[in-house]
Amino acid sequence: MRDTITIAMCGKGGVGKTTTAALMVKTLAERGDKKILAIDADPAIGLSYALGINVDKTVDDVRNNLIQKVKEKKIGDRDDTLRMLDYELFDVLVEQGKFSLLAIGRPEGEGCYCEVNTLLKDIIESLSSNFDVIIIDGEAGIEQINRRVMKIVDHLVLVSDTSSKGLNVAKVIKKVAHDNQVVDYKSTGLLLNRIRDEEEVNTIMKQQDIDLFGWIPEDELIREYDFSGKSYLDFPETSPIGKVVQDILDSFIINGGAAMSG
Amino acid sequence: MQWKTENKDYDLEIFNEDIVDLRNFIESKENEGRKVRLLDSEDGDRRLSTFLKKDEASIVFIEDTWLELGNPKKFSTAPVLVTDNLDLVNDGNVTLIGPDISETRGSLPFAQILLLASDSLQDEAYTKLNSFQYELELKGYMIKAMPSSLLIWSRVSNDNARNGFSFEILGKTIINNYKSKFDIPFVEIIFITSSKEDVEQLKDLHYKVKRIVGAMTKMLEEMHFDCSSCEYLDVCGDVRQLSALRKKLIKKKQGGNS
Repeated sequence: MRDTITIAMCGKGGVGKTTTAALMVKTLAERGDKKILAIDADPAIGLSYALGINVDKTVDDVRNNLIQKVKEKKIGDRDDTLRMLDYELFDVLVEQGKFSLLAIGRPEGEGCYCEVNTLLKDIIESLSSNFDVIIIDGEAGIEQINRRVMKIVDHLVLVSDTSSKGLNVAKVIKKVAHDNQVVDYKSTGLLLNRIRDEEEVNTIMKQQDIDLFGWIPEDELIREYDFSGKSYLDFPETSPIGKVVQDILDSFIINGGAAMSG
Repeated sequence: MQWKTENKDYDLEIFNEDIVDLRNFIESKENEGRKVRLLDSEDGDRRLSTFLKKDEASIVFIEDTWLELGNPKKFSTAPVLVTDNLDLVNDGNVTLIGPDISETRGSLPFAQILLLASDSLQDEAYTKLNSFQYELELKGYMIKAMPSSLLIWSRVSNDNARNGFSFEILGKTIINNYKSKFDIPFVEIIFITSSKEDVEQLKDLHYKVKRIVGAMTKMLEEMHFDCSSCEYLDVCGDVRQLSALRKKLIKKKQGGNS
């Protein structure tokens, strides 16, 4: 069994979670010494798009297929069901050589299919144990945390821009994750995005009770990549954001998640 | 409850004709010029234990894959044919139609057909016999399956191919597993990797076995016997053993309720 490190991006919509996740995947894939699993937990499957992958099947499709079979009483015993899910989930996994991607699709749907969802979580957990690093691009807001989708996360990255709304969502996520113990994490911290300068970071951090993982300056190139829909796998390594992402990953993988001083 | 010849409740002959058809199919492929081989070597026996037990990653990633068998985008099949006629199964035989693992790489269509003969099988055992073939503990051999759909998808790692992993080793491991788990005296296995067309010629057999597995699973799992609305009414009507099994289950249920 590998000692898998799980890193999850959370925060308000539009603050740069997907970009950060995509750049983490790119950085680790280029290093080439780790098995990487990218989990696109955003129903809009933005991470897949940012990595230049066309997704034709999601975990939600597998879930719906199973629910249909349950309704039609077309499934065998638990072992058969597990095998079937294992087969179908592996089919959903997109293997890109240097990394693999699992698109979750819509979150758990209507009706009570706790058993189905539990089986799926078990299998995703078992699949995940084959990887060294898992990068999760979370759904916007706190719903995913509330639903305990991300139960075991080593490093919870709270991505925010400088808006008070973004910072407030980050604060709420941290509070819910910590106070309600819905996520078992080793470290949690802010990744501030679209920052003017260090002074702005210092001003923001004075008002926060959260560690700082890093900050990303405003970057025209990101705007260009987002606008043109280019794959972040082609993003230049030398960009400032690339360096920030590398430092954060080193802090998680080598130092176990030591935050920068805020 | 049993599918027992010694009690002569009924004979287990559901697949007897299919086994004969399968022999004819193999012969026809040989006549068409396919490479058909009986795999049995001292080297294969000696190497059996080399690949047993995986204590490493259970996934063989695509970049570590030498050969992929039965990708979901292609048709694959893994039927298990059971009989109580011991003459129909050549115990220990591993037959391969098509290239062996070391002889090709990439992705191949795949059929894995198991023939089992025993005169003392339990009714309930059949669904387990069908799925047991996937319970393999082999290093560098990843297996994914949908037992109820008879679909099989596996990958052989580069390391395994380099170290001599072959269909003989795979087949003999599966045969040994069945013998030790179910105490089945006659076990034979046939692998087909020759072409998509050859594998697809087994579609009739595939769907027949799938329907029977489905009917039996439903019977054993559900235990309510409203046949008029049952989707498996046709197979139960056609297959004497299923009909007899249903009657026995009803009797057992009524006995249990009284």
